Amino acid sequence: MKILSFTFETALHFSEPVSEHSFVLRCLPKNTPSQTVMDSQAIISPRTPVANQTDGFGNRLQIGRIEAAHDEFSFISTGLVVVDAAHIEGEDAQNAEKGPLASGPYGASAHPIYANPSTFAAADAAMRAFAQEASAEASGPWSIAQALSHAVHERLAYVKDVTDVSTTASQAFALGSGVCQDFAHVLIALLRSLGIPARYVNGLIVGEGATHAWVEMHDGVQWRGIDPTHDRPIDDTYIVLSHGRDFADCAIESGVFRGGARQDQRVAVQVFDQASQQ
Amino acid sequence: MYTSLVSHTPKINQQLARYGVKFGIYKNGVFNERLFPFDAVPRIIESDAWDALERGLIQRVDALNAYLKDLYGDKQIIKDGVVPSDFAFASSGYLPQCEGIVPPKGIYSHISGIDLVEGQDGEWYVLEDNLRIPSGASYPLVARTLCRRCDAETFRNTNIRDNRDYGERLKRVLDAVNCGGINVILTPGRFNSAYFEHSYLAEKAGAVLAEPSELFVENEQLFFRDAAANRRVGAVYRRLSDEFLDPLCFNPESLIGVPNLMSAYRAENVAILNAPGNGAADDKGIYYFVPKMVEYYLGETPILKNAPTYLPFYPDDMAYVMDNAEKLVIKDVAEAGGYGVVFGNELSPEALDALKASIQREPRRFIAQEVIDFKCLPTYIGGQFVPRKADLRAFVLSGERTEVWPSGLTRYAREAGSNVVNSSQGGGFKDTWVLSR
Amino acid sequence: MGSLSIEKVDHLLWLGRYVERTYTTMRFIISTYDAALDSTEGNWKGQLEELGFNEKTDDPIEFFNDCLFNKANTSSIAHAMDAAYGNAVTLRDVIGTESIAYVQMAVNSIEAAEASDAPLLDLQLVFDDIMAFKGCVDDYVADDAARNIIKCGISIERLDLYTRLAYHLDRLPQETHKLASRIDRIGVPYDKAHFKAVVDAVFAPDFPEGATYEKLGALLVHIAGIFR
Repeated sequence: MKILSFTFETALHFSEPVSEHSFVLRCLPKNTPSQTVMDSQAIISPRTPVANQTDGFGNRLQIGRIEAAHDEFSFISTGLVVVDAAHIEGEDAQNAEKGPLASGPYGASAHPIYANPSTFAAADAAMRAFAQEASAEASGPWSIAQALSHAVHERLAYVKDVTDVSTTASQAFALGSGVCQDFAHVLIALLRSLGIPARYVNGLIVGEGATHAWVEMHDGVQWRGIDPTHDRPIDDTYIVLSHGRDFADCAIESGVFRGGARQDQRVAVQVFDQASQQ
Repeated sequence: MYTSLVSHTPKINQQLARYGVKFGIYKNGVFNERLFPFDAVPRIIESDAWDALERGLIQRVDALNAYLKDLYGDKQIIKDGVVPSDFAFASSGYLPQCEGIVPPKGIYSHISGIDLVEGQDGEWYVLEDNLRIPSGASYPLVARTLCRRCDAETFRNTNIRDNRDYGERLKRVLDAVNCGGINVILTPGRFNSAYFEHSYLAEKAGAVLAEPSELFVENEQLFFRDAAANRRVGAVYRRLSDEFLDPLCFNPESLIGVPNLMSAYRAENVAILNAPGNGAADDKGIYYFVPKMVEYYLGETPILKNAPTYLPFYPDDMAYVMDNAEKLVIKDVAEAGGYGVVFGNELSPEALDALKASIQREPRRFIAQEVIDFKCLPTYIGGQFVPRKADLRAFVLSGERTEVWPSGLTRYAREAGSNVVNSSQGGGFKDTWVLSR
Repeated sequence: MGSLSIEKVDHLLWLGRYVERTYTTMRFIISTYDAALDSTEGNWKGQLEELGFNEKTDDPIEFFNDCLFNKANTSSIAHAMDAAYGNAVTLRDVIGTESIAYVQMAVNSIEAAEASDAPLLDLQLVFDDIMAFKGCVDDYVADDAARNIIKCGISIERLDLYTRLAYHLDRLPQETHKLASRIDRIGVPYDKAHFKAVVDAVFAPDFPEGATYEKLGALLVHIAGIFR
């Protein structure tokens, strides 16, 4: 168990002023079986009334609209979270999971949508073959997930700016490189091709200055996190912000506005383990 | 009884042209408006037959509404194994974004268009449920007014139920679910194939016709941009499909739509008619289960029949489909509209074998149906009465109560023997007379 | 009453303008045609060139056909009536199917006239349809603002065309007066400086006798500026 404090700041700069800017943010952590949010808040600028809602996936939403022209849009979220990835298992994990899509209609199993291919995480023939081969030695969903995570880590090179938010799993797989989003999409697609439910997770981790993305797979009893970018199971240094079938379901920031501006984004993330702050 | 009416067909069509009764179609990328040919020979449904049909339609739509509420809520029907989750959630019309949202009054399908045919055996069969944005109610509405004008005798001597109150019926539904504010009909715009209908229904229901750019969401409320002052919208009868409704919830590539419309909907500040996500219940794969929904939710015996349908997913059905594929129509549930529909008798033996192999490989992807030989209606073409295949789209409205509009859109095929009644294929429409005794 | 968005206000204004453009242009074309019968030499095209008809043809039949029916020519009456229709159909919830039907009929009548062996005779139906449309709007459209916006559009278009063609200049004060009686009641912002300049120009003691080409040019700019 760890007590983590976090500060997550994103600033968008528009090359020309934009107006009538509607936005949806998923910048605050939610409660999960392994994560309890003690305190969290978001400050959005320019100042505007913000509605707090929950989406179909159980993610927290911050929703608003800025009518007046502005060339800067920023949000800062801060909070304190207790994370305990190791000690919650089985029945408890299932009961603690909130939201309508948390579990399948039959109880402990995963919701069927996570086993079906989705827009960004669908396997092609090459990926299906790759998944078969890479998991040949493994037995059981969790062991398969670890084998596949390792294979993805070997197969893909971490390279920035070769992919973007519209890159699909099969494109990234063919390219052989990408960022954490691509690693996650590829692993999800591979798991689903073997019938293992998997979902996409956005979040923050200790020691990284940007947001991160990883994967949760369902082992038949509960969701377990695995990070193909670092090729390791998630531990108490990970804070979950949102999840969905793939990136498109759970973007941290999305907006629609009037004005043909280019935008630059600056992101700063700091996650501290309270125990190491002594 | 309609012989005198038929002689006025050209004049009625002239008047329909005057009123701009048209549908739009894109050909080679160019938008054109076409008149929808009207045949004055009506479909006539006897009072008793209608009463049975009406009960069946209300029952079916009530069950479909109950299913949608359950599917996006407790999922009891799936837990009970009546609808396999493989079918329920594999449908492309199922939208997880709508999970946990309960629409005002719990109604999902407010305006349902149920497509039926009358078999040679005299039974009505449901071919398709349209729970998203069924269109076509406006055409018979205009035609009826004109027919009455040119043939007083027929209308005086025949007890035909009035159908000209569709606008008021629609308004009652909008008012029943309105969350405070004006009623709006949201159209994708002037170049949509059903634009005439959108604008006509707005006029008849006293609603404001709006394009997406005329609406915006702030503080979880939907507003219409009035030039004088913004006005709250309490109910929106949207005539654009789910994926274009809200770019911040569904397709982010969509350039139309109303950003954050779903936030006003989640907050129960606006009713969306029909509810987003209804595609999960009018899917080809789900159709098979509708009679079971009637039994499950209402505890009643289904009044209306489906065309006999087989799911290769079930071993018994698989065996039947393998033995009888050449006389069945096979539908790929993953494909939308008229795509992925194959008549076994039109395939070469090799192609049929290939299809059977695909069915065995992916049984969940297909359904198979008996081909219904449906009745022709007399149609006045080229100065004589000729038989043409015709279907019926019945409109079922769910507000305070579920009601059936005592009329409907009867479409007929242009060519003799053809089963294609689609307006874009050159077919026309007829008025549908429901007799009152 | 109903709600009017900025888009609908714009459609109402342009509906009025295009209907009036069809009507006045058509009258002007017919009178020019008539004059041309007597003067086959010289400038028989009259001021139609001012409206953008500079078809090179020397064949009067071809020329007048172009003015009337060539939709590719944005000055033709067929084009103007199509544009009126394009605006009208977006307004069904405001002005009603009955009003729109007359716009539809005018479009149909122009198409029928084009196919006719006596087009100018058959164009009478277009005049009739347009007059019926105006009557229908007056009688049928319950929304005061909507009705008055259409009428303001009609007035603006008349001011513009009459000035452009130096045609019936003596009617400009009357038309400006009509506009003045409505413009503050429609709830639509307008440019007061331009409006005042139009009033000053057409109510000047020497108008229209003292109107010069330059003065009319300046007046056109002010007319165009009222609703911009």
